[in-house]
Amino acid sequence: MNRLMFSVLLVLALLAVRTAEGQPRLGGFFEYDNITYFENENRQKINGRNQVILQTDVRHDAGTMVNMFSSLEFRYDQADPTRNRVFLDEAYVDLYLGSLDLRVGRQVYAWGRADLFNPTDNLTAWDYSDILDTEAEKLGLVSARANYYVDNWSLEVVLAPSFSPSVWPGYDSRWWPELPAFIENPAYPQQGSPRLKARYEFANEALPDEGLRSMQYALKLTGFLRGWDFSVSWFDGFDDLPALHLDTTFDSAFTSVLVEVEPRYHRRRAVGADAATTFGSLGVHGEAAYYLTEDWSGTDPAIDDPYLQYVIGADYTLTNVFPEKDLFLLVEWSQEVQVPDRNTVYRLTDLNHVFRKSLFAKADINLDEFSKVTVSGVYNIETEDWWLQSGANWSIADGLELRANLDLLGGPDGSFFGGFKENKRLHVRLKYSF
Amino acid sequence: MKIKYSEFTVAFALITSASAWAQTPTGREVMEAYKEQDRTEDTASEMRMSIINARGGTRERKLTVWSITRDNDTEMQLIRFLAPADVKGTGFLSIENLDREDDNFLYLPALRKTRRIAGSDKQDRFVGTHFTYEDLESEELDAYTYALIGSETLDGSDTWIVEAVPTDPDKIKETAYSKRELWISKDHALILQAKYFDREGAYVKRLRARDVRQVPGANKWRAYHLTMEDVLKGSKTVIEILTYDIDQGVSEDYFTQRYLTRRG
Repeated sequence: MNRLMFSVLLVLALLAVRTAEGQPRLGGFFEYDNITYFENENRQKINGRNQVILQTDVRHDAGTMVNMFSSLEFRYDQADPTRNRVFLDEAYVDLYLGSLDLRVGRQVYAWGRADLFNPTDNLTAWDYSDILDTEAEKLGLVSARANYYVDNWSLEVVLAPSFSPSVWPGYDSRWWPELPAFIENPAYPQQGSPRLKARYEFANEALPDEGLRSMQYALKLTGFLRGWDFSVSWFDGFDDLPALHLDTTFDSAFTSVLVEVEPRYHRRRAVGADAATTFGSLGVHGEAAYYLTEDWSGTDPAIDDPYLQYVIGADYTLTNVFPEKDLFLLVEWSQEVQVPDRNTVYRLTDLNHVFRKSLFAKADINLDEFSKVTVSGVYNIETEDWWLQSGANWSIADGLELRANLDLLGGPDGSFFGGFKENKRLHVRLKYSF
Repeated sequence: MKIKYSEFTVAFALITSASAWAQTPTGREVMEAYKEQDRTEDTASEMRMSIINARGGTRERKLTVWSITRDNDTEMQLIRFLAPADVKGTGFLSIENLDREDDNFLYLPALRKTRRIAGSDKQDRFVGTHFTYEDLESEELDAYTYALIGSETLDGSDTWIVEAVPTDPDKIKETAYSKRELWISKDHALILQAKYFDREGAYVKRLRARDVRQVPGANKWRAYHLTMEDVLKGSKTVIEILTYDIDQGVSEDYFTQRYLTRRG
């Protein structure tokens, strides 16, 4: 049974079920989303967003042991038709069997305790069509999950029969990470020699074969002991982001070069751990994962070499910094270490390696009962690029929220955020939840 | 940090004999009577909470609260938001500990994550209301000195007025208040009004409790309508109790991260 059929059947089951114990409940949200970029010189690109989303959620509690849920999203972007979609976010059945909870169907996972990013969160793919706007953009994975609970311990086992990749920005998106315009000319290998302008051709992405060989597994043991929360995890699956395999062809005179790009998804394994506790008013947390990739020997430049990523952080709330106003502060440090060390140089397209040595900070303060201001920023120390976001939230009425974010980016050419420094923008979102 | 349900509703139960004080009690005796009648094994309640700003703008929350008192007299509490839709499913779990900081967890369904919350931010406002975490804690009789400073008829009910001043060094350090004045009904030993004074001695907040009723199926009384008002700004939070059960056998299983994350 393919994934789509499986999901559709689940939705139909949800809509069809009627029991004496209750009717399905409908919920969801309607959202209007607008993005205005301050620099619009490249007319080849999509220079804005003018989008509406309707998401409908159906939930049904069929007794105390069974719960069913589905969420269907309709997205229409007048400015960027490539973002239009009718999409099944989630559709699953929960079974509660004593100490065992089972969830089967299309579902979203959220592992890890860090805020900037989660190294241990490898099961669920993302919609990266807008790299700055990934809130609620996780993509459901068709899978079965079992959680077994004993006292303050739980063991989670996940089995996913197939693979779903993350969504990349379209080629005409402002978030498409450009590949180098020029490459070294092998006829003149010395430094400073003229380079060749590259012409790229993209092949269709090569997905893993269907079947048992593309099965993904994950385990997580979570504990809660004397004020500490912690977990250790194991993931054996696929990188949700493709490796770009490049095949370069030079003409006979070495005056031009054609680069054929084939995105391929590679298997990887990750052993992870996280922990959190509090010391008085200070909350601290940490999360790490060591990735075992397909290129342990470091011989294939297209495939990641093994590496360790970790995030450590602390949060603190300053009460009454102004009368009746509390300030929440969060700071995180993220680092990536290649083990063994291979001095890999990453491209802009390596979304797995954006935060290699990064400082992240966030502060928010409530202006009154219904509004809040937030400022957050990340700075990559090695590459000296940065992203700063300041935003305001206003609860207009029950369930109705207006949010405005100003995004500023900067850094040297070739750095991740520096590569998108012309994407400074204002993002306004009006959302009604029902 | 514990958010005791009975404090949260500020519904303080009955001492059936309380209406017949033989002589004028001390402040401590009034508070012991209140503490005694307040005790329950477990509670379960559904309530509507309205947050009203100084301009009259209102946001409503509907929530369910479960609490349980364990054998060692510590408490556990689970709060789950039912409405409006943008906060529905948000949960708060509080587990009181005798030998270390309390465990507090906040579950945010939008992020699908449970976050451990620092336990000592007692002056923080609870989910945007005018109640701080400190306001919601159960009364620690040994941390205060209580003085009976008068009696008064409040909305037709005879009350004792008790002044509570923190004396325990830890309490003095963590509290936002230099003192509280508590109006406690003589018949049901319920707090019908409380005034809060900040560390500089300024009167900053007032709690009013109304609509006192006997809880169905229990020999307890509770206030079903509560208002916490910021007297400086004029903003307030109003709580209406919709359903209320006492000692109906709430399972300890509810007070786990497993149930915290379960969608209601």
